[in-house]
Amino acid sequence: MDNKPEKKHLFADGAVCIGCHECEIVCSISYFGEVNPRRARIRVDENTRQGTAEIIHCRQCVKPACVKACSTGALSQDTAMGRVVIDYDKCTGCLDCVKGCPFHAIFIDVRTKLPLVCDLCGGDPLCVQFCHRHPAHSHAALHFATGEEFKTIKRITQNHEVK
Amino acid sequence: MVGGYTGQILRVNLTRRQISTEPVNLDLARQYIGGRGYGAKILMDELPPHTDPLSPANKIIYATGPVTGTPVLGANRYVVITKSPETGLFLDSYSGGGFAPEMKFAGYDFIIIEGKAVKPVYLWIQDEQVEVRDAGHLWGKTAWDAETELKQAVGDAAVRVSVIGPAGENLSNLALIQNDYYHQCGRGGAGAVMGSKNLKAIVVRGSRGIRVADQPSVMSMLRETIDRTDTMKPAVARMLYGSPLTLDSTNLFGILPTLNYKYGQFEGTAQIDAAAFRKKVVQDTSCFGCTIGCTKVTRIATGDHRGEEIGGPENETNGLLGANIGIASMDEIIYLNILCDSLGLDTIGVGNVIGWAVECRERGILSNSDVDGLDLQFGNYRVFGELIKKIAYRQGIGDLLAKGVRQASQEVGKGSEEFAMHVKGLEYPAYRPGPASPGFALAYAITERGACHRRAWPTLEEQMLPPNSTQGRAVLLKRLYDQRIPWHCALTCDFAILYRGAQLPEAARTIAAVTGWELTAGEMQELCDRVATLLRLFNSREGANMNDDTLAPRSFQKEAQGAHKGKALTPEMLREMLEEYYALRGWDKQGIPTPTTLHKLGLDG
Repeated sequence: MDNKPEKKHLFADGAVCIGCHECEIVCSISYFGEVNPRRARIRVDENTRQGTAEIIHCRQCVKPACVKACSTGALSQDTAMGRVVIDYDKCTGCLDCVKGCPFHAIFIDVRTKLPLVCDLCGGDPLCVQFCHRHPAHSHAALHFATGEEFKTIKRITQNHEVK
Repeated sequence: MVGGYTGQILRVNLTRRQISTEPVNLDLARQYIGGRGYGAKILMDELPPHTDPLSPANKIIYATGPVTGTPVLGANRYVVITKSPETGLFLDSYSGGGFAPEMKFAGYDFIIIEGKAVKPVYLWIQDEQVEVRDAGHLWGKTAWDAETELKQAVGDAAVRVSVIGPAGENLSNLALIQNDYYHQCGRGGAGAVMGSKNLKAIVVRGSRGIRVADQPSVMSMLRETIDRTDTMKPAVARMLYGSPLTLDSTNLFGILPTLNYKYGQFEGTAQIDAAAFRKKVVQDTSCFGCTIGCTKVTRIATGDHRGEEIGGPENETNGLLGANIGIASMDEIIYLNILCDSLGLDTIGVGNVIGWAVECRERGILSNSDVDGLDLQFGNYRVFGELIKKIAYRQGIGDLLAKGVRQASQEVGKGSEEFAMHVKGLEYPAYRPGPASPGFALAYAITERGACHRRAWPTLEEQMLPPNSTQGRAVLLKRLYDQRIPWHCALTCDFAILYRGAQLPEAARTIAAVTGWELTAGEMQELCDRVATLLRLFNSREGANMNDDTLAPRSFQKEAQGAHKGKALTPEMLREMLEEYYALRGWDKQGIPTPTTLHKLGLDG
């Protein structure tokens, strides 16, 4: 048990997000065959006046509050990856999970009105693949990494300077 | 449905408060794709000849294209197409940000605005729900305040807003339309057309998706393009320095407008070049669906306005509100940029009218009382700030300058037309045509909307050709002009495309993957010829002819300094380049499309 590698999580650093919305674009088109940020499982809350952005995303909680909030058993945690998966056959659309998530990271599909939960694209999240490191920053905004790995990534940033 | 398109046109008649939708005509779409092409076709077909641009009869067309909002890098732009009050001719003015994709999420490829509202209104679009709402409380507000208040009014911070400032309300020929605070349809007075319709803003929120025909191809192109940007030096430079990168080159090449285009190099360049600009950047930010992130938020570091921020300035602003009016300070340029953007004024036009007014004072053409006692001298940014406010509110001398440099110089006369820098009424941007750049002379002369650097940009490639010569210019300019047409129809940013190959085969591949149509580079070439010729027809219908394809008299004067001292670009040289260009387009020596050309392009119907 002790040798088990630490699980990877989706990490985001809003401080280096340039607000391009590629994550929402690739997420929505890969699931629904359409670009529609309001059907994405990750969201960028952009402040266009300040040029800043906040990334709202599922953190693959160890004890997910969303799973606990679900009374129909539609939400469950996948032990292999630690992600939360949704069984739409059991989902009644009560949205208790949406209210239950402390990170506001379960979204309501604007078309179906059902909850959207990040499933890590089965282990290689597309949003991370398309999140591009801007040369003004030392790292990209999105990472699929262990907690330790992400700490290291963020540490580099303090020394990065644009010349 | 063909991929990419939403398939719908929204039509709003403000006089009758009538809102309707109609389908996009797919036969026309195949011929004109969208954006600039399809939008121009609508204007040509629907606008009666010789319509007064500021009358209710004029139309504003917000146009996107099939590629807009898809996962193609930089597919975030819309174009506003209308008849310009500044030139009286065709106007297409583009803007990035997030408005265009949102318009398509709401379900519309085009929005056509007609008529005039009795009182100030704004348009609130949520998918099929479209309302004309009262904007009385917003009239007079700056474009920035109005955008913020509109977001509060509809209770959703994620809506996208396209809005005018006081300059547009006051019908200035320099008035722009702005979205997402820092993105503008800057040129030609589109903001005044909106103001003339009593339309303060369009607010949009959509929930529908955009589908593409060949999703795997579109996704792999996106992957390729993003990867390529990392290895291309110009792309990385663009990411870090944005458009202000250009100023270093234009100064080096001797084509940076300086002191009202008198000179081509500015002694204060080190204070306003790419490096000086980068020092002011506090945030790197991006348009929707673009990883380049060339929008930069900058902050004033010193002086009375310390701490104020803006998305900008862009290269044109550094050129026109910097070198051209003798300002050698980024903080001062940022301050003037903040005034222009919030009041809804085009920085290019403003830099021109200020330069012209200063020179009029120097020469005694305008008296101290003519300029309301303002101490108009190059470099005096505080006075320029006051002048910008007067332009937006049309007070005193500002009322004259608000008309743009052509009208102002015509009213004042006394030889001031000699140094009124415009083509067809549109002020020169931040490239100075002359012996150092005959290419820009041709670019300005042939562009339908007037002096413009965004249709064909010969800055770098012209360096391979001999200076002070007409050699190779017509062929180069046609190629560069055509390179952008498909992207302006598609509609995507024309910077982002440079990083994956902007040529016609690439345009064909992209539009084909999105729409599902089989397209060839040959068809793209035909699209270019068709669109360019259609715009030529529009302008000639409005009374323009070959004599309008010219430059400001100053551009034909002998150089007073620099590498080409004592030499001049001559009207004969321009005429030679024009005739060569007309011939390449299949137009006669007077620039009139020949019957054969019209027939070939299907424009003779």
